[in-house]
Amino acid sequence: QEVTLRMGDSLPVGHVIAETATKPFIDRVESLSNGTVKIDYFPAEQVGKAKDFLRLTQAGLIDIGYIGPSYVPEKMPLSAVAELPGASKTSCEVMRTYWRLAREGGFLFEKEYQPNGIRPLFVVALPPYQLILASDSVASVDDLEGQKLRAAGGAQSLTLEKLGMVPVRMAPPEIYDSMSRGTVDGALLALISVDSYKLTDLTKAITTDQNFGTIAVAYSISERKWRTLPEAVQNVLGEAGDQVVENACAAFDEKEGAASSAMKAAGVGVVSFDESGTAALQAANASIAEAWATELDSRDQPGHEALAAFRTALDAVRGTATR
Amino acid sequence: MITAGILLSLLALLAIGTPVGFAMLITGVAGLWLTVGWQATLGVLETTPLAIAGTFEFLTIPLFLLMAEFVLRSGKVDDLFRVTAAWVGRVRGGLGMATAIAGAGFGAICGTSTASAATLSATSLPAMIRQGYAPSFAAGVVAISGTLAMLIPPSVAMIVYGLLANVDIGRLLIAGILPGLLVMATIVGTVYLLALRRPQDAPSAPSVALRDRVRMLAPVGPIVALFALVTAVIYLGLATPTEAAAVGAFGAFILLAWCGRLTRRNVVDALRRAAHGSAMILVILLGASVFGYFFALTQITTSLVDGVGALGLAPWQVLVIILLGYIVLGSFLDQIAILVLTVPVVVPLMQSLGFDLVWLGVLIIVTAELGMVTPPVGLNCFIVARYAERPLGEVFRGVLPHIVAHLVAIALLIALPGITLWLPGLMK
Amino acid sequence: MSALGNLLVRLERLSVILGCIALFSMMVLITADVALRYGLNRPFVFTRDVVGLYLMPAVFFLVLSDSLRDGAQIRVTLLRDVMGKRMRAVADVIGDLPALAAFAVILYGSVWQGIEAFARDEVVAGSIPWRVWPSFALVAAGTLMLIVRLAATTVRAIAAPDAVHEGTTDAGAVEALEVTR
Ligand code: NA
Ligand code: NA
Repeated sequence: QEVTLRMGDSLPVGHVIAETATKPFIDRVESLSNGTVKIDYFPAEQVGKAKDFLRLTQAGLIDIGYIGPSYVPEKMPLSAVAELPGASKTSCEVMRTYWRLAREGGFLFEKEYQPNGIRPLFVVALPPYQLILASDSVASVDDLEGQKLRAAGGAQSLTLEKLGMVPVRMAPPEIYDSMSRGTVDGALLALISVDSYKLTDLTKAITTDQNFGTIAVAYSISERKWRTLPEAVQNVLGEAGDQVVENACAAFDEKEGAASSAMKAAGVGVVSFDESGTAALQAANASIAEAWATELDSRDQPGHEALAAFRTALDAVRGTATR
Repeated sequence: MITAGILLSLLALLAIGTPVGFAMLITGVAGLWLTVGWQATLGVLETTPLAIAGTFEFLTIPLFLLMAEFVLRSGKVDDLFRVTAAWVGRVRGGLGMATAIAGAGFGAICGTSTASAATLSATSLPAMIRQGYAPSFAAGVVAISGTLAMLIPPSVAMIVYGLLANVDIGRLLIAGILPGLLVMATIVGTVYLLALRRPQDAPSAPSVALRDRVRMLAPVGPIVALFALVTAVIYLGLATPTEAAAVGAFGAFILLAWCGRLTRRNVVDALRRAAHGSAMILVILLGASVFGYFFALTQITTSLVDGVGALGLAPWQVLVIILLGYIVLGSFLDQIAILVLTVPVVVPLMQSLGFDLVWLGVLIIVTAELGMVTPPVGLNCFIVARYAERPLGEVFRGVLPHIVAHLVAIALLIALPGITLWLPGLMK
Repeated sequence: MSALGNLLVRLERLSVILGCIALFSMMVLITADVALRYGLNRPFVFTRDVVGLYLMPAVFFLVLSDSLRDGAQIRVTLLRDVMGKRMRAVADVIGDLPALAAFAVILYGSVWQGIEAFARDEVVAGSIPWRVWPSFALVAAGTLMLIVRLAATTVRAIAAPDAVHEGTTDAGAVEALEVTR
């Protein structure tokens, strides 16, 4: 029999996540099910803001929602482990690791997805964020002191503070104006996002191969809805999810490399990290992860356990990749 | 079936005078309940209040309202309009024209039509009425002049469109300048014609000697300085446009003190009025948002646009049909809601027909702007009615000639894409 | 029961004062934040959280009921102008009762979410872990006052339809509640 599922997210039309992961997932599900499973897609906050999708998915307004720990930190504090700065180098590392933890049987599935009554169908994580700077006078880590950068809050802001920079929060639509007028000196973003925020002409210097955090999101279905689905449909969704995680992460990493090359070719400077700069960054990242875990522990949440689970899974992902 | 019933119920509730926010909330809840059930409706009602009231960017509404209230109580607005009256008042409809020019000037500071309409309502409206203008004439000019804020940068609507349609925001903002000035000129021209036909509606002020006119400029300095402050804060990059609302309100607070009017009563009244106005807008946005969920789920927009695409019409015919659709949507939906609901479907279709997306964006926003002043849901008219304490029907009547003129301006923008695309073409 | 009516009006006045304080604080806080960021490169880290979690909901929800009493709600009055007083009373009940029901659901939802947030000690991420539950408490408090105000209006419209004023709900509503007791 035919099944139609409602899927909602907050991504603007043409967003790199929608093009690379969301729409391919929808297509995949349709083709794997020979057209018996259809997904009605409501993008661009048509059926809710990013913060609301957990609740709206639980309530059944939509069947599949765009749920990210940074939008609902109060409901999914542990999942933010995937967004901590420093942990990984590529989109594939973050996505595969997060997928291991969030899918059925994983640490985060047990501790956070199940208790919230949802089940991830696939996860998305952008390539690790870099510094995007509007000034070409920043060449090394020392020049970063005092730079005002747009960050998404949480761990991203903490990293900047630790490195002597000034985190500023604002909505995505304001980044362009703020950067062009000097309200901020730059932003923390994946390089692939620079063009979609129209920042290409404003960007004069970037970092490459660093990790200032990322955004991790799981398109999830409510457990209640999941149980009503025939096993064949569940299998289709599971298979499509696995494929999308693999394909999308590879595509993200490839696009990130291309964006980086294109910017360098256009004369954008690369901030160099000497030994002491790298050490300072690593120390900042380590202390943020530690503080994050400790704060959670103090509220009876298994913060250190989550950190350990993430590191174990990341090692396993790296082991598989190199073999 | 359900959809038609819900839309009819909405119109019926609006007709019997149910508060607009309530009407949209009630029909939105009913529609959701019938289509997705009780649990999902509860989910929407649990998230929507804080999704609106807890959004940082939304603070521009109370703070720009507050800025206007402080400016109003400083007494400087009266000075401003005494000076304006002295300089342009002798022309028939001079104050009405000044309102349009002030609307464009304030639009260069403020990114939302409603905040601009509120400010103009609090400043130029009382001055015109004191001058002996017919209230409906004055209210109409204010309501339509408020819409300039969405066209002249900075503009929240432009930024939302740019992100939704994946169009360069810088070019979009620049593209709004000349159409904004065209619309301003249209309002000025309409005022002139109206004043010519019914001189008693727009009495001219007595002539003032040049020496006196120059001397009168001095007290206006502080208010010009305040507008300059907000502009500078945004353009020099001291703050984001959102934060500039707070800086502007604070500047207006200082202005109040500087004018020796910093009484407890003035401050409390200003705060309370700004808060009341904000709560009123909150109720409308709350209702519109809940209704918007229902509307999105019906996928009316998708099937509508798909149907249009299947008709095999010439591109310009499709454009006209779609713009007519925006006028219809504008008659009962909020601007941002319209963009959110339609851009994802309209833009791909129009792109496939070969239209320039910057030009299209400006056209969509100019057209959707009309919705701010058309019945039954015309947010600008509501705000003017509330501030002027005049019946809503009077405001709608006053704005009618401007709607006709606005359509002429839109036709010009369609016929001559150069008006929109010349300035952005100079970039790079 | 004039005590009940007085209590509601007094509560509304108090909560409007709190809402106004929130609005003023928001203005000062953001201006100071901008000045510190621009002048000293040292902005507050908490502005957005405090504004979004507490001040904005306070501004909007704590004045909601009072703004309705003040007749600030926007409506299309074209038909209303030609209605008789009884017709208007009927129209008011048709609009206000379902609105009351919708706000009752909002109240139910915010109370329930607030209790959960309180029980689980939910906090936002960042250097200061702000509590989430007061946001819901503000929504609940504002909605509760609004519901009582709407109930008072409806009771008045049914009990004394000839006395309906132009606002659905105005200062007279509470007296009407008293009349029916
Ligand atoms: Na503007
Ligand atoms: Na309208």
